[in-house]
Amino acid sequence: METTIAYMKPKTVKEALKFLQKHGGNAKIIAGGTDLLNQIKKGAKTPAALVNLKDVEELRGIAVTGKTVTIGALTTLFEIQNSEILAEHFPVLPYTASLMASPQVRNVATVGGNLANAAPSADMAPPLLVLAAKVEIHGPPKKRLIPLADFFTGPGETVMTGENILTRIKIPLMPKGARCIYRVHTLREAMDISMVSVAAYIKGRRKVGKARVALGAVAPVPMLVPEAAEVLEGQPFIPERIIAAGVEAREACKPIDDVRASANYRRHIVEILTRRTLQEIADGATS
Amino acid sequence: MTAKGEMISITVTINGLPYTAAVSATMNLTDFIREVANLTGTNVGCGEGECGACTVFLDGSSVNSCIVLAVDADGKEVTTIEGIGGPNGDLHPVQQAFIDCGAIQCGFCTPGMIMQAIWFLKQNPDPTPEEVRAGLEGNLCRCTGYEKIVDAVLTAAQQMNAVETSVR
Repeated sequence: METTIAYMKPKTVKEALKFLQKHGGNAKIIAGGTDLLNQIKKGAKTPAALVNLKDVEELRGIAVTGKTVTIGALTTLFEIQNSEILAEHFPVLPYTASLMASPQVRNVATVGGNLANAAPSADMAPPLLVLAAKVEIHGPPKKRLIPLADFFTGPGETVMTGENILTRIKIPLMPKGARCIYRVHTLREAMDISMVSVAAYIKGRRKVGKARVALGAVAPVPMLVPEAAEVLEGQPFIPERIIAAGVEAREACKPIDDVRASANYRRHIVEILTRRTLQEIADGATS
Repeated sequence: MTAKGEMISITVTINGLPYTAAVSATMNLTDFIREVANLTGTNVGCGEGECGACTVFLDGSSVNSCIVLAVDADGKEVTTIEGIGGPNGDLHPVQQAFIDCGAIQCGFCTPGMIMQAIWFLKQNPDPTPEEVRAGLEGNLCRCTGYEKIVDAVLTAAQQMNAVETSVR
């Protein structure tokens, strides 16, 4: 911790990009820092420079414009948890934030950091995947807006280079009659990382119009399961279809053995948790 | 922008007093509080944001100071366990409740527990026991004396609410 590295606290995205470019991708972006500081302490990351985004005000806050809700990447998990806009439009997001880490971490950690760190277990990812969120990325080759489903490329890896900044998350408003919930399987109720998590989005009550199912912590990246959606869409929302979706989710996941659970156990839980999550939506759950 | 290897001069107001020092970009706030301000009530337990022993307020928000950069506190107000009592050394009602309820065993987690309890009671002045547990989920007591800690926070809430009512 004694070695001092180059440091910059820009006020704008433009300034930050210039600094990143100057360091040729060897600089690390720090936002909340709740993951990065631990990685630096453990020597897992040894950046040549730090660019601290905390003063980039344009990246804060939650707003509705037209049919889209935009969440600035610097928005903290505490702000997500307490956002009236999100409570109204996507109650699953405040609920998800409330499950994460501890109050002290949620006061600091950012939604952009949770996605950009790209942990397979990142809790914000599955609900945002089923909500069809897009992420805005600044930097070379150009500013772009891509589906979150195309963002993750591996554990800790995304399509972004060291010269890119994740700036905003954009979520289309849910149509009437659509519901989205997120469920996790953990050993403890506090300060735990999910062994398996499932997010589901269903439009339609008796009959399923649109469906999306996403899994966390059971593959190299948080993932959508289109096969599970397919067995639900256009069908009556009944236990037979829900059971079939659980089987599809189990087939699609690619878990590993680690300290939290074995791959086999995770596959088993994926099937059950997918089924339960969908049944909860069928029973009227909304977050 | 600073060149490589250069120290960064920061001023952090801790418990009302300004502290200025040149620090490295990666120094954490716990080290600044303990080594620069010599305030050792803020403890280092895990050093990675899991245990809450280093909890302080940064501009009024409770944070794990071990995973906050010292440079992020530049120009801001930090409150530590040393800064929560009254001007004459009076204890904060949460501190008094911890004593009255015997909510202390080895004491190592206590400063962080008390800081988090104070912040939590600001968010939720009249909590249920379950809400207290959730509010303190980021603070570990390795002596596992959680029952009395929850009792103390509930007791403090009652006393603080009673004082507020009598003032009105």
